[in-house]
Amino acid sequence: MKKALDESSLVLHDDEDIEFAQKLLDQRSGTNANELPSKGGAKLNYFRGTPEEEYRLEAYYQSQCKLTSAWKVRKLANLGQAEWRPELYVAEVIKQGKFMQTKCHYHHKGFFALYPEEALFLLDVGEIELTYKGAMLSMQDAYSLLLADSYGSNLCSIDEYLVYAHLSRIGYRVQRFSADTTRSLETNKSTNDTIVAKHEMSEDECTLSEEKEVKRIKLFSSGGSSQLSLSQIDYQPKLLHREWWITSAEDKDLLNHISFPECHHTPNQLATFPNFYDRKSNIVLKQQSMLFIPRQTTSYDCEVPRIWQERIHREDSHVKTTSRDDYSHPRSIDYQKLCRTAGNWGHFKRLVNEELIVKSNEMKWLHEIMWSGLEKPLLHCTDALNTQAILDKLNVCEATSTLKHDRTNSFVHTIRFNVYQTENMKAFRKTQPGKPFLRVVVTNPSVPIPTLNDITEIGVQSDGVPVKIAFVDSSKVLFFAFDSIQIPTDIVLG
Amino acid sequence: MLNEDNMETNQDVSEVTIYNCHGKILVWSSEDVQLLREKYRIVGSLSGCFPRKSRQNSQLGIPLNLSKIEAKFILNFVNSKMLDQSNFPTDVDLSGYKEKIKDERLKQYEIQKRLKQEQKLIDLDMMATDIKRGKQLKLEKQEKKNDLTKIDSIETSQPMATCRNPDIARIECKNTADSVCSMDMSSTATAEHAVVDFEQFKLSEIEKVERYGTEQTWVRLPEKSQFDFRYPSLSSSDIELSADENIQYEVFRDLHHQGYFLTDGMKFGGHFLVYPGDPGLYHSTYIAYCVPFQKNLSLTDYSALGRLATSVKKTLLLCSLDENNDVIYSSIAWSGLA
Repeated sequence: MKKALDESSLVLHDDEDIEFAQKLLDQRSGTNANELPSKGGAKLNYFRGTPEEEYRLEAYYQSQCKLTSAWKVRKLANLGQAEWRPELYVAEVIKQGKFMQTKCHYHHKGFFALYPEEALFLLDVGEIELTYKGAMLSMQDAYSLLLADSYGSNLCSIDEYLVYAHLSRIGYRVQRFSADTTRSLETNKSTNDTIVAKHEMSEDECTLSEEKEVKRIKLFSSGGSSQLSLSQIDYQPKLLHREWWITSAEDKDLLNHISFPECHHTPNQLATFPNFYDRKSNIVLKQQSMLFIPRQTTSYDCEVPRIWQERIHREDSHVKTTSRDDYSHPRSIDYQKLCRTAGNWGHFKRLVNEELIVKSNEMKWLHEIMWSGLEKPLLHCTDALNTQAILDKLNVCEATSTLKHDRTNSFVHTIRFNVYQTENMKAFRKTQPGKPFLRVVVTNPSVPIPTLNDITEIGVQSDGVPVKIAFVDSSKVLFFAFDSIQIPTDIVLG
Repeated sequence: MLNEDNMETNQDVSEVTIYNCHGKILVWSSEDVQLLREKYRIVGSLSGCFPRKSRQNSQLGIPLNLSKIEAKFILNFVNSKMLDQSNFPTDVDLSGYKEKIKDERLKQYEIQKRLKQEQKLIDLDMMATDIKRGKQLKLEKQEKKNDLTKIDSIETSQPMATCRNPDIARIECKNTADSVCSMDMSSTATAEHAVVDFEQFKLSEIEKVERYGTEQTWVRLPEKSQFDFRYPSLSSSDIELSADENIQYEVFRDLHHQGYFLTDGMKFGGHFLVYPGDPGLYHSTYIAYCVPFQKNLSLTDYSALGRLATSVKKTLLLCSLDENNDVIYSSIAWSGLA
């Protein structure tokens, strides 16, 4: 029977290597090792120097020694791999891992990349191996290489990393600040490829023709009209026309017998669309080339009725007909009631006119009251032509005095991170993270405390998302928030 | 109690190495962290992920962060050195490291495989009785099931048939006596089969250890750098303190000399928290607030500081330096007159 183990296999290796391997296997993470040690009871208020205190202190030091000297042991199969690229200030992902779900982005140079804080955190947590020129980096090396002294758009300081790590450790998804909440900071690899890979298009002729047409058509605009141009295309008559609507065999036979007008393939064939906003001349839709329309349909010239031009320019006509003295509002008239009262059409029209006059007088009287006092309305009803006119009148787009100031140091108090909810609260999609849960500004004792002006500006920049100031002192992170508050108005009755 | 006079400084061999990294002072060696705490009463604060349970903030790991005050104290009174690791030595030849790591990992894979196999054998031998019993029960269960199905098929199609071959596990018979005899012979065969099977079983389990190849190697992700020899050294004078920080340093030195543990007091609005013993075992008794001797503090400041300390059952220490650079202490206590 074959012997279980070859006794001589371990003799070839040094004792040190064997001891190291044994220690690795002892230190690997298991169910028992994942528990945090207990602190040995409640803290004491006074130092008395009793033997019990000394015994407890000794036990505490032993547990602390085990904690600080614990090795970070991981299985090779579970480790991702990334190579640090100092010229781009990112880490290129060589071997992917589970971290791809929440971290990393597609770099414009054509690879998946990790920001410095992401790479450093994953190394700290033990999910990747970070290399530089092929050599494996330790945590200490990574601190030197990946972090920088100061703030900057691409750089990451130690304080920023500490805040990032603090939040990421407890499950928040943290990304670099971006005001655009529709997609993540860096666009991911073209989703078109992904979609094609996941949902393979059928080899149907019609879909092929569609694909070819979409890929080969270039759209451009010139002057007041737009033109559609077909660039070089292989002329295949049967692929240029859709036949999906043909259901019966008779129609199919008909298709073979119908002769179509000659359609010459000429490069850069144009389909002309008129300028609908042109008021000077009548709009005519011209007959189009057969290349652009299905078979069994014919095209001809068509004059666009005047009504459509009027509807497009309704805003202008509305301005012309409105005058300052016209206070009537036809919608407020009860036409049904008048209709029941009137005996004939002429009587009805007289009643409507009388009602309009009454309403007009009422409104005129109301407007006189509104505009006669010390406090007047902001807008006159005739000013409310469209939204832009209202905004112009109210001047809401003008900056207020609190925001007008020159910023001398733009990086001192800027929003650094977008923070999203933990997985338990809300599912996170890296490509479309949505509106963040909060935003974080990082600061430390050497930086002046943000003024109220800074806080207002940060609030505007944040666009409604709460902002927290992360204050980093040595390694401790403290979060502060400056929230505006509405003092309630007390109403005294009686 | 540690006395400044007792501290020996040996320039040749340093007990503790601290690193300046982009303005932060870090300690990367777990032995140094332990030594600083147990022998020199320097606590600092850990800021790395705890290796075995990284997704939490209650227990952190290496590196240890030191404040400028603590770092200056260590360089002045502890046998230590400080290296500047802010710039990674990019001119180091790293070409051989990749191959070296690859060889080491292959070696480790062989050793770990062997160690795991040995441990597997020990575990299997320990549980041999249970495993054998389990296998026997399973075999008997299988036999009963097969006998029942065979008997059913014999009844329907063929007359009774007997077989006294002990090597065959399934014996077909209709007579009860025959069936008992056959069951005895089959259990003997089962026992021999079980012995043989257990050895085979052990072999198959051992082979499973190397099933997935070198990807099963356990590796250590190191914390400390191997390029220490390339980092320039710094001295205590390279740590510049402002006037306020200088006051804090003197207060730190004085309180430390008296045997206290001191940590950062930002959480309580002070400069230091003063502990009678190790912070892991004792609550702090004082909040030290360092202020220049000549500075005017408003009543609002006094009220805020006093209220804060009282509400957390601590005493506020107002610490200043007099003209002779000696530290003087005052405290505030709420007192009411009924």
